[in-house]
Amino acid sequence: MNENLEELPMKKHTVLFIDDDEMILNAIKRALRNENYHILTATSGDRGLMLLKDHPVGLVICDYQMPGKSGLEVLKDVKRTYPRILTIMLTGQAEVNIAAQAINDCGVYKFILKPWEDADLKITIQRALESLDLIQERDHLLRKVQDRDMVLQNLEKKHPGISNVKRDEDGYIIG
Amino acid sequence: MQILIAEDDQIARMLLQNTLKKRGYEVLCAENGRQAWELANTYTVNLLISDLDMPEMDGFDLCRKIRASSRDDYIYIIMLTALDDKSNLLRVFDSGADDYIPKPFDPEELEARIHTGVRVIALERGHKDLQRVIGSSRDKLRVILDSMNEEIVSVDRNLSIASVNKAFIRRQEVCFQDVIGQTITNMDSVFDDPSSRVQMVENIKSVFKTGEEKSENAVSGDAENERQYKELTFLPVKDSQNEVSQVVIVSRDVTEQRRKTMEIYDLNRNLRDALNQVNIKKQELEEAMAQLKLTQAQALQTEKMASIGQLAAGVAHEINNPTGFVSSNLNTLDEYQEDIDSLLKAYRELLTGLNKDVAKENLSSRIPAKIDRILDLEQEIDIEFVQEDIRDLIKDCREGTDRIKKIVLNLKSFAHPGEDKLVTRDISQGLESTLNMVNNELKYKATVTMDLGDLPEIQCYPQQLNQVFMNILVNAAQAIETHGEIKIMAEHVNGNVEIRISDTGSGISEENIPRIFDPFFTTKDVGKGTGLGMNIAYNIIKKHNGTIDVESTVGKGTTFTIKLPAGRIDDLKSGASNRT
Repeated sequence: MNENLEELPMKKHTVLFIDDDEMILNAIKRALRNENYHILTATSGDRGLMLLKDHPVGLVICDYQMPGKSGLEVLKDVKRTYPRILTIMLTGQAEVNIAAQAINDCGVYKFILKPWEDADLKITIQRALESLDLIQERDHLLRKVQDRDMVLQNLEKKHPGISNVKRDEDGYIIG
Repeated sequence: MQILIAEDDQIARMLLQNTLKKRGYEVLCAENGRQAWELANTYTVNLLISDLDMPEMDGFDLCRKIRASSRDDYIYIIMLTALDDKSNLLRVFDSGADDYIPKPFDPEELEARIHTGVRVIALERGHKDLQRVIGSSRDKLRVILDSMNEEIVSVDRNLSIASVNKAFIRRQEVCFQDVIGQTITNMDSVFDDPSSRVQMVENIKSVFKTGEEKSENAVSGDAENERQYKELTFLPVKDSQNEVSQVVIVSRDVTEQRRKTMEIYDLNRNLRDALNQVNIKKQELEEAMAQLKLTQAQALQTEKMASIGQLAAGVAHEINNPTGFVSSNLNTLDEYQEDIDSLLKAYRELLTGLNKDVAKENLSSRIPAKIDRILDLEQEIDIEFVQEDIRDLIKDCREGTDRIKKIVLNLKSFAHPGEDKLVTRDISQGLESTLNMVNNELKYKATVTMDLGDLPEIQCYPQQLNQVFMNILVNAAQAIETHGEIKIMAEHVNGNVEIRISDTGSGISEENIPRIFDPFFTTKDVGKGTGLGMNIAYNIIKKHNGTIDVESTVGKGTTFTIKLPAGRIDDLKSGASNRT
């Protein structure tokens, strides 16, 4: 057991699935049980939104047609409340107007059509999580740069000119 | 019977008087002619016996005077003559006397002569009565003729006017005396037109010749509103020898009649025009009605297709959910089974190891029994087969979900509401999905072969084309009674995409071929076909600026050839015209 734990990388992401059909949720949980992220499921938009309050979810995958809040409404709410969360629409209806609405109104990251291929689903989620990682990495680096800038600015305040390096046309430091 | 005696000789007068009175006659006596004349004018005298020689007025003068006077009754005159004097006899009769008797008279002879007179008087009276009757009836006829509006004129062989009626005189403004005896061609007022004069003379001559009635129409007057129309009738008047002695011309003014006839004619024409209009309107209405019926039926069909599409989309969506989790679960199940298989393999190795390598006496006594039980069980359930079959089973199930996915995909691509837009597409896709759709209906009836060449993309309404393909394919299957062949071919020929769908069905009879694209034409049983399928197909192909043709031989089969232009179709919609 211990060996296994060490072999597997830490599950740092959580993915939330929302679908009114429990069979779908069960199938997805089974298919993704060995993937490197936590899986949360909810059978309605409202339950899903409740879960988001208590869990650090990075990706929400939501069905389009559900009783109560529709997939579009749920994802719109998610985007408004948690702008950093990525969203994917899972739908049995491949219609252009739905897709356009999802992309324009809800900033949906991707579409997955039912019936899905497990392999496609895994790859799509993987990509989404990677892009989440990249965003985090970018933000982290940005912060670092900003911190450095701050240090430089402070230095410049104390020692004016220290942050400027004069160079000639060929790039050689001249002073 | 009153007898007047004129005799100057008294003795002779008395003798006559006595003789006549004795025989029962009433007698008047006069001494001379003058006295006798006065008596004849005063009394009714039937017979006069007069002497020749008398003073004041002799017998001749008396006789002449009586004859010249007009009187109601005829007076029979007997002259008394001297027996020897025959020279006066001629004068006697010339003066108007009827008879003579020589003097001295024999009473018997006188009586005989009087009897003759009485007979003549009676004859004269009868004749006069007859004449009166004839005269009055002629007068009546003339009154009738004169009262007629028709102008009547009769002419003899020399074309002289013999008689005319009052209407003629009135119209021609002439007087009776001037007209009678005139040659009819000289009557200018009768004929305004010289040519009609010639015509009339010819007609008269012809009637004289043939003795048969003729009639003719004549026109007079120049200005339209002054023009007079006449109907001339030429009637032959025949004498006792059956020769035409006169021709009566009856001229009837038919201007008014003609005007009325024209009016009636105009009214009739108006009526006919109105009737035609009504008929045209009726026809238009009928056409509009038929068009409406067709539009309604087409709308119904379109609605049906749309609702099928909607249903298909809805069903597709509903099926996608279970298909999704079933196929995903099958995937997971396969993985599980793989895990179980490897686990079972490990168990079996352990079992074999235990059975062979390890000394059985080292084991507790219960273990070998358990091993045996497991081995038995393995054999009993044929675990190797089960393991293998589970994988096959999962494979088959996945094949099933794959098929469901394909059906749903076809269903969606076949009829999708709101997606009937002009797109550029290769029609092979549509042919394939349509064939998949109707394959259920076809596969028991026919072997279907599809040979699609390299096709260019064309501008089209894919769903509508699919409908065309479907209609033809379903008809093809229905035309095949037991089992046949359906061939679908498509190729790029001369800038067209040419699609040929042929079957080995019963074929279409020659008289039905020109009608198969007509709306409501169907050979199927009542209620089986709407008669719209091929009409809709025709209209859809027309909308694509394409053509659809059919060749068929009864008993051999039918081939539909559709040609669709491969280039851009500009203004597809305005180019479309429905076949109605």
